[in-house]
Amino acid sequence: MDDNLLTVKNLSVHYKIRNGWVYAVDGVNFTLKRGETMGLVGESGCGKTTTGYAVTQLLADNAYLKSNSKVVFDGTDLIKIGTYPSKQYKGYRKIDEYNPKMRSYRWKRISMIFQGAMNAFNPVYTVGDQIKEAILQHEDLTEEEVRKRIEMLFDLVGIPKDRIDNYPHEYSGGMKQRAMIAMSLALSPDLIIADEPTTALDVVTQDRILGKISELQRRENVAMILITHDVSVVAEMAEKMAVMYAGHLVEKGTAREIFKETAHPYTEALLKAFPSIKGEKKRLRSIPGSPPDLANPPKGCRFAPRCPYAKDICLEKEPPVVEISPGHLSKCHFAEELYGELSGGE
Amino acid sequence: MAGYTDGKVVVKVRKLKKYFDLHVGMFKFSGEPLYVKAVDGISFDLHEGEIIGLVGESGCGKSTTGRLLTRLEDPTSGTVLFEGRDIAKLSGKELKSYRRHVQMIFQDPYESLNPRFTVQKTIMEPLIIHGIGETYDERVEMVIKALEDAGLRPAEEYLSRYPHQMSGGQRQRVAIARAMVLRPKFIVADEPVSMLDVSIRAGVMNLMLDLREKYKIPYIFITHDIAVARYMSDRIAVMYLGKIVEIGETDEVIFNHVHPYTRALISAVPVPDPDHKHGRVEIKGEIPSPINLPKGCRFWPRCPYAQKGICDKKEPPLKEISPGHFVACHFAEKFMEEEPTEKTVEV
Repeated sequence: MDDNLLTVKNLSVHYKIRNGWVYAVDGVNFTLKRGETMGLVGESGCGKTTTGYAVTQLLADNAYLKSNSKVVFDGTDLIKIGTYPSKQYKGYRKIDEYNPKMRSYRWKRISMIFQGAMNAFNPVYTVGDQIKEAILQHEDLTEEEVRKRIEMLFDLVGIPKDRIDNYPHEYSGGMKQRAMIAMSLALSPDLIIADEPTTALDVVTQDRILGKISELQRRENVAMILITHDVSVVAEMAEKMAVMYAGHLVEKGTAREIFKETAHPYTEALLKAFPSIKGEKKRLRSIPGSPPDLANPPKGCRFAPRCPYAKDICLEKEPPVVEISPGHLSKCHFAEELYGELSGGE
Repeated sequence: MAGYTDGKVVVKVRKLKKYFDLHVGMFKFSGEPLYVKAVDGISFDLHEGEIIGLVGESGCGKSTTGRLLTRLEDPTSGTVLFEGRDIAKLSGKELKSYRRHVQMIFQDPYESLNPRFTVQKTIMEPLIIHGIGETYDERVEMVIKALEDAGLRPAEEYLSRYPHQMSGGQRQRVAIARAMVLRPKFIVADEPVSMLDVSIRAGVMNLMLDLREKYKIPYIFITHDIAVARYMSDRIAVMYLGKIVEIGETDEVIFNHVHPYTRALISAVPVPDPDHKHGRVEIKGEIPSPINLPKGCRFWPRCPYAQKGICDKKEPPLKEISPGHFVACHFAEKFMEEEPTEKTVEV
């Protein structure tokens, strides 16, 4: 057995639409160890959220997984548990929504921090009751024990205990987000999938919450997939990083490698488009054109039509994944030639 | 990009205030009047060709300031002087002419364009309203020019499109073209790039900078993103609960900030560099409600350097501590000399 907590292999999620498929996620591979944080970055529509949610199989009705997709969590292939071969579409598996085995994983072992914490809570129940519900769903505890657990959680995230019985609307945005984090930690999971956990918040609150998350993560040794469009948040939070573009994972490595030893043209373009408050003010570079329509993705490299380094082969053939250095991978025909030539965020 | 403050003053804002009365309608006569002090006495000048970045957290009054400048709201007191005239006193034809000279770019390009208007109609509408251009052809010419300026080339291809046929970045470019077609004297841009994706955002920001170069139009650039504000502006004004707490040249505010709030705000900005050591300046609690403002300095209940008897008693005025750099803090001079590092924790 390997020591990876999570191994995602050949993950492909396609959405069925009226006339055809949307190839939202295609052949994504990554691994995560216990206590490790991986930043999953990309622009809207690149498939980063679908990838994250596919781990717990929280996907829309029309989502189908390719049969060879594997999501091995702590030695068990979740795809085998939670999906069944589709009768309608060959080579695909459909998610079994209410699979009780899968449900026992959700929240207990793998929890989530949702993007809009503002709307993730039910407005007609108190925050405490909602956390209680999540706990009692999985564990057999007395009223008092649950209360104690919630008090401890609120302590952890820094919300006063007398706010447990408040309704969500009595909380500020930052507090709701912190309550969401408390809820995600309620059952001491092994993995948290955080989908843009601080995007809607002000910088001061964002900073405080990110600090809190990494502190708790270190203490409880929880692994995390941090889904975000903000590369600077990843630079602060994650040791590992994966960049997605148009459903493909285009570059993967440590955050340091990706920022300083960029090996994919899209990563370079993404980093160059990001303003910073550090260093000299440089003109930002925008990426010409727009991302492809995933119902009809380009034949070769999906970034080729916008890539300044693209050659004929890029438009023809899908690039292989090249290992530049151990663990640092780039899906580019010219990864080796461009490695060292590309400049990252510096 | 220095030197923009030497230009002619286009807009002069003096002691501008906007209080929203909470007791309206049937609550009008219930007890003490209750106000939200959204903007509470701010003053600054906007010079020709200059971009001022207005930053702060949500609820600090930066958007209300933008709406006051465009006269979408009337001020409670104070003045906005445009070419020497108080805009609150304008009416009829003069107001209409003011509305031609000031344009606004909004945050959400999905909401700010009429879904039933084609691009051509969207951009031509202001021309018709303000009676610019003699003939239809002349106006179409102007629309095409504006689209090309906004980087939508070939412009003819976009004329008959509807908003839903365009991407977010293209829509925001149409909104910019709509503002620029009138050749305004200044522009208020309220979070114009915060809805856009990273790769597209850079393009729209560069476009706005290029148009400033080309037409010398000054902007008020409102944003919560300090890295964006730094990229866009010549000067930055930091707002907290309706007040400007610090204003100065961009890199002066980013690197040599003095006010404890600015310090906390800037230390919280994530940096896209994994080697960056993150120093956190802790500030306590959350923004108080703008209805019950703390006495004295508004920041004192959260300020790690606040001193009882001074900060909670007297409101600090905005003082010039070095040329062009103003700070509203009782201890501004002291903080200038010595870096108060002892409260900064390395994380």
